[in-house]
Amino acid sequence: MTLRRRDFLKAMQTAAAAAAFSPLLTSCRGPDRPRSRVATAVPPPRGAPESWVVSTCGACPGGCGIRARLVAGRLVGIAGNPLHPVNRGGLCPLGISGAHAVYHPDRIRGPLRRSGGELRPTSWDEALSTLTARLRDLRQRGLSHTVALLDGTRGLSRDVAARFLGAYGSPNHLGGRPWNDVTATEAMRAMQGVETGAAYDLENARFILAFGSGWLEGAWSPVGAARAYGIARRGRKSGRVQVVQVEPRLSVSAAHADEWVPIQPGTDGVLALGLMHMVLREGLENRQFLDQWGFGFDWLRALVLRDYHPDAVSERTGVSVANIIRLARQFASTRPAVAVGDDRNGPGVQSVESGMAIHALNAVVGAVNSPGGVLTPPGVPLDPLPAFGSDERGARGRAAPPLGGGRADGPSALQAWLEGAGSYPVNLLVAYGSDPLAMLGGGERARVALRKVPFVVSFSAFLDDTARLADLVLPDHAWLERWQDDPTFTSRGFPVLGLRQPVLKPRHDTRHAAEVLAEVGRGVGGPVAEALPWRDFQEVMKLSARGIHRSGRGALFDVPEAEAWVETMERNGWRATNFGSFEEFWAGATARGGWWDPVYDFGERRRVLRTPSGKIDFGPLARSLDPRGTRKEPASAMARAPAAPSGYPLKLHLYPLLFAFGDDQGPLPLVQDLLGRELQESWSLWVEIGQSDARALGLEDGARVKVESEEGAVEARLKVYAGVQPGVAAMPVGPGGAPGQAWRRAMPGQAAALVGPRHGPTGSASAAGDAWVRIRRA
Amino acid sequence: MNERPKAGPRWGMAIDLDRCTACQACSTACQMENNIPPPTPEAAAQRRAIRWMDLVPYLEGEFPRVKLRLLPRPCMHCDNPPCIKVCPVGATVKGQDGIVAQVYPRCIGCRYCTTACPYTVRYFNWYEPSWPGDLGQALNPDVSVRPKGVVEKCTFCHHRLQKARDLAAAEKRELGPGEYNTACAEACPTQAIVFGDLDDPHSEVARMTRSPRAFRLLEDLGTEPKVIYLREGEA
Amino acid sequence: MSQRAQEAEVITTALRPQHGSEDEALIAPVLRTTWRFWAMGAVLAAVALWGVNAYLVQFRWGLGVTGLNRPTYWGIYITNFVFFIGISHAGTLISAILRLARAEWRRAITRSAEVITVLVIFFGIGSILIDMGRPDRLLNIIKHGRFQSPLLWDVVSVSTYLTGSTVYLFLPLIPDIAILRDRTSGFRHRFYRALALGWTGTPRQHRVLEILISIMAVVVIPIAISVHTVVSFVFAMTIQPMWHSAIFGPYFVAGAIFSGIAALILAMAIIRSVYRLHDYLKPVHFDYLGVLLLVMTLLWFYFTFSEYLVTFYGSEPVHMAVWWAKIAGPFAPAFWTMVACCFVIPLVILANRRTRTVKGTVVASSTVLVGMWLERWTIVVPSLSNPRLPGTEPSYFPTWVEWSIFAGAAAMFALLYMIFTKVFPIVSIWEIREGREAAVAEVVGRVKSYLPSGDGTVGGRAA
Repeated sequence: MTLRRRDFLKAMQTAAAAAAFSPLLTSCRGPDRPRSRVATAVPPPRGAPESWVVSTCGACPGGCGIRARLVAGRLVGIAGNPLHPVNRGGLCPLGISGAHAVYHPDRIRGPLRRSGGELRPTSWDEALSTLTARLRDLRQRGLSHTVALLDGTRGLSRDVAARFLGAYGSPNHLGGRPWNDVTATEAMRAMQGVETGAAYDLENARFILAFGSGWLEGAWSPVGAARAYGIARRGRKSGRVQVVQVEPRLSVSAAHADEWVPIQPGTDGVLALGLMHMVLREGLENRQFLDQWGFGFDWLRALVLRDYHPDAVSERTGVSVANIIRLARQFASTRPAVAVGDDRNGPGVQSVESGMAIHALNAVVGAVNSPGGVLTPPGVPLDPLPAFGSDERGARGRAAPPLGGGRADGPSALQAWLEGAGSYPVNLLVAYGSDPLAMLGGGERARVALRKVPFVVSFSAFLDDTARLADLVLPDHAWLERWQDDPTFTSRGFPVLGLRQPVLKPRHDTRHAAEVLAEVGRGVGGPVAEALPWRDFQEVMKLSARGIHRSGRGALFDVPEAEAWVETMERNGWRATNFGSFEEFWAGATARGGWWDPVYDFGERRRVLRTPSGKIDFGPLARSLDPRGTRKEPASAMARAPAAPSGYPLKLHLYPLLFAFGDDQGPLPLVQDLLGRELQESWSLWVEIGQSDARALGLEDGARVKVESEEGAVEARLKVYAGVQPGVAAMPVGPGGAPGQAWRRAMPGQAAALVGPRHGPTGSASAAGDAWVRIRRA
Repeated sequence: MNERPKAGPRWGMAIDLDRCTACQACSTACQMENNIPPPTPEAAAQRRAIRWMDLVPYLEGEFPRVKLRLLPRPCMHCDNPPCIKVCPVGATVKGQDGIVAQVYPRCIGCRYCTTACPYTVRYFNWYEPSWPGDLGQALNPDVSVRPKGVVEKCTFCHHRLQKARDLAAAEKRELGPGEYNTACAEACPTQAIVFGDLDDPHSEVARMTRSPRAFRLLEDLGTEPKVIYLREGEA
Repeated sequence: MSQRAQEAEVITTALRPQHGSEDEALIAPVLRTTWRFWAMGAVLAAVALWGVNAYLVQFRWGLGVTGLNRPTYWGIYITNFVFFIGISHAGTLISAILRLARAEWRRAITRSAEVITVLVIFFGIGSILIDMGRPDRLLNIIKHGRFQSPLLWDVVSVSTYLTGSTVYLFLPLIPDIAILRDRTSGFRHRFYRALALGWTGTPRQHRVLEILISIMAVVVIPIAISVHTVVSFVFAMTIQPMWHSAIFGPYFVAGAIFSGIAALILAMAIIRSVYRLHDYLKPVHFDYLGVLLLVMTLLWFYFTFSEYLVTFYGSEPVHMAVWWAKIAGPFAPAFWTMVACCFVIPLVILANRRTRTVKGTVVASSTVLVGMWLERWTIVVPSLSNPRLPGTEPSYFPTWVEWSIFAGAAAMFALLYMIFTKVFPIVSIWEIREGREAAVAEVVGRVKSYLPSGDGTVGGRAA
């Protein structure tokens, strides 16, 4: 067959034409382009009018002050507020990305209702009437106690929820946030009888002994902790602070410490008691302090001296005897020294006994309620909201046994209750500023438990894990779009009230969650309606802020130099308020960001110690340590050394990625990308083991592996990291990934599936300390 | 390009590693300020995420003697920059104030500067940058959005200098100290990053340069970087 | 008549266009085409079009469709750039050097060598253009070119080389075009007549042509050397480890000549078999080129050995990171394959006269081409994959777009080469005739002049 030139040319023409319309041209987009169709972004025109609005960041409970930059009505930048005492102009990645939270493509644009198995848009009227009808029905049938509310908010929003449940007749107001609520707070509650949580006066400490991870990576206030660290290192004349980090893996916080002490997971409290043992043996304790301020210490002393000899402690914790002795001496002889416990909720953190042991260690060297130690911040002198009446139904409901014993670790308690520990079913669950499913790890087990609740309501602004299985979604404003109070404290224990005001109008059909709750309450009627008469949250804020105005204490935010002035004036009994009338106060507070009182009175014994004895009570700790004690609860996890189940040779250490737990932010791409940066990991789940373990398993860095425990299994990428000790596998925990979102968070909390939920009233059996895994190639 | 008299400022940065907590607020502030497209998981997996200010991890040793140091790394704005030497079209230039600037409209995307930089501070737009949904609303109007195919890097927030100069000129006065600050230095919670005029002996950044803890990255290469680090630990 | 005029007379007579000469085999490919040409052309065109399609994808979406990333900002395109430009040294350099050295065995091969050069430079330049993020801003290089940049030196040098090589290809082509002019009719006749520039084969024309060719031969050699030297300077003028090396200039030039000879051998072998030119491209040609290839193998090995030994003794950590990456790390397979293909196999084949046959040299050349491509790869990628500052986890592998463009470029080159052989004779007809009729006598005379005359004169004068 001869192919002639003419035929060839014709064939070429056809081929060329086909190539021009090649489907590949249009379909072959790069793999790393976002799947959603995007429009090229157009910035606002240069020279358009610019304005700055002062507010308070709502991305986490840290309470930093911000200034939002608006150009032509668009929010184009967020910077820190230099007047705000918590951050003095600095910010963290969560706050800086705030504009992304407002303009996020995955924000819920209006109320959603589940019908036909799917969440469909509905109107506010319909949504609220649905919810109101259900609530009324339950109340009618005397089942008001079966309503549970997981509360991730603070301040007045929380008060509104408390009033709602109180008037409605349910005792189930559960804590619902991953931050700042469990270990140290519970330790202080048990040993000092206070509810406020701990303020670590790090700025003035000369020696910081940090137990657990992340105090520099997030903790109670990321920017607050960082600022205190910076000052303690290089910002003061009294010398550079020494930091020792006790932690199972070399975290970012440990990397910045002067010394990293590797420790077996879950044994922080044991080491604290071992140090206490040495301090007592060598007579380095602050006897005067213990005599004056301690109650029941002799019992604890006897236990510690008997059971926590350095040899035993060394064996349990993996810290050498020499190090225990040296650290104890350093800690006791450098004054002021402070021991900082881990401070977060969720899998992988300390048990309450550990928290109490660390607090006791502080007390032994006199670092409680003293400069450079653990302070009990006074609350902001807000006016309480007016009392509300009650009816019989409400009283009966409130008298029912509370779910979870009123503990802050709401999601865990809820899961345990739903899995069978509960004496009554939960008929309605409200996730109010909270994503309980994510906090439980987002795994199948948690999902199964939550599905037992016939009606779930979420106030989330994003389709987070809980919202996805909710029956009703009542989207809240983004934090930049709402009024809110942000009561907090600085590390020096000064109460701060930050004000959050809308910097731009709500972008979608969303409503303020507290206002919605109040409206629902009014719909339910009766005492609930009486308890929540306000339509506007700003009204509630002003109402309670009158208390500050009346107290005549503190001052509106001002330049750092003004702090000394206010303090001096107040210590000498005078007012230093820079406001006059309440209107002035309110105007000034919204313009500058808020109010604070830069005075900490170290002599306020009655405020700080509210135990029956009026002293620091060492009894709860002693009781939990003594296995032959009279308690009926399971013996303390610290007292026994758990054995590894056969076939699972590696001890699991879970560490929460704090920035991943931003409140109500949705998956923020900038934040997601920076998680794990120090290991050059990001976005997808990884597990860290040491070099020797990797070699023994025959696995290399980057291999895809399966991590299995007796509870469950996950797939992850292997990271061989020298900062992990032999015999330990470390995994990060973040909130669950929600597929289909603009940036699919591929760092699911599946790692939490490897451990069971924490249960027990004091949260003993910290499962993370007892979790064992094995790793093999996937 | 603005011409300044000989005695003009020489802009530089000092980073105190003893204050830094590696929180990456600097990276995030830079990304928001400079309209850097947010990375997708795929882009990150392909090592294409753009972070003008990045954390450089130095991991040394074996357990238990492990040392991890995290250095925030902007562009060094070298006084003897290897990148400018190799650009064929003059898309990267250094002004008298010492800032190594990018001229986006001129860049042909040959990426010679990215391979010549020993600090790997330069980034490339592999695709047209995108901001899904409404995220484009949050763009900073003072910073141009780069198209695909051009190189970009830290500019010491040069746009802020221009804005401050414009303001000073409008008010018929000189530029005051502290009026021009980079986004990263502004956001840093511990004030570990300090920015200013290296040639002003009274400025904070100049004082930090004289610290016995001061060092520069890859100093032996002779690039003369204007980002000075202060070592952590006792002085 | 002076001796020169005599010689000219002989040449002129010999070269007068005539029919039915012995060199019909050389004209036959131009005048007659079989179906095999069209079939091969279709295949090559399809691959080339696929490459074009791949480039259009890249043009539309951006360089993100490649496997490039940070820190490996350069990859296969730059490798191809250096590789293709390297091959371009075949032609002009070999042809020019052999011409100046008066090596008579060059006659059959100069044209095919020069064509390689002229065509492959386009793909070298093309690779750079493909690598650009903003090819639409190409003119910025002219408008805002900065001469401190080695890339601008590349632009000048390569464009000069292209111009020079084209002229150097065209000049010796003129007499052959005239032959074709006189053998064709119609459109083709008009085409050849236009290009022949009125060549009639007079002695004066021949003299002028010889002078011009000689000038070009001299001029083109330094240009050619400068080309690959400035290509090497693109790497050597940075301070990156194992790029910033003083040896790069000569190393690249040697490597270019090396790969060029290999490409030439391969091209010759294909032409020989397809157009049945066994009489013209004889085993002796392959033998001699094989010897040259052997020399270049040894030279290449010498340079490579120096480079790596010096680096090893220096023990500088930054350099050793790259060094180990190549010797024993992720690039070890590429590196050792390169050594095998560029040194071991060619040495074994070419050092032994018995294996230095047509087939042997073709095998050696093929492995040399593979090895030299790998050499460019192991120069470009490992240094980028081992940046000085930690914080990147480099990994680079080309995507289908990059491979397709590479394949398309190679296919297009082959296609254009094939088309050239259809339009112009790939073996220089007039030079063969000149060799047959005049050069033999000239060479005899030259050799005699080296030796003592034996007639009592010393240096032509009486003793």
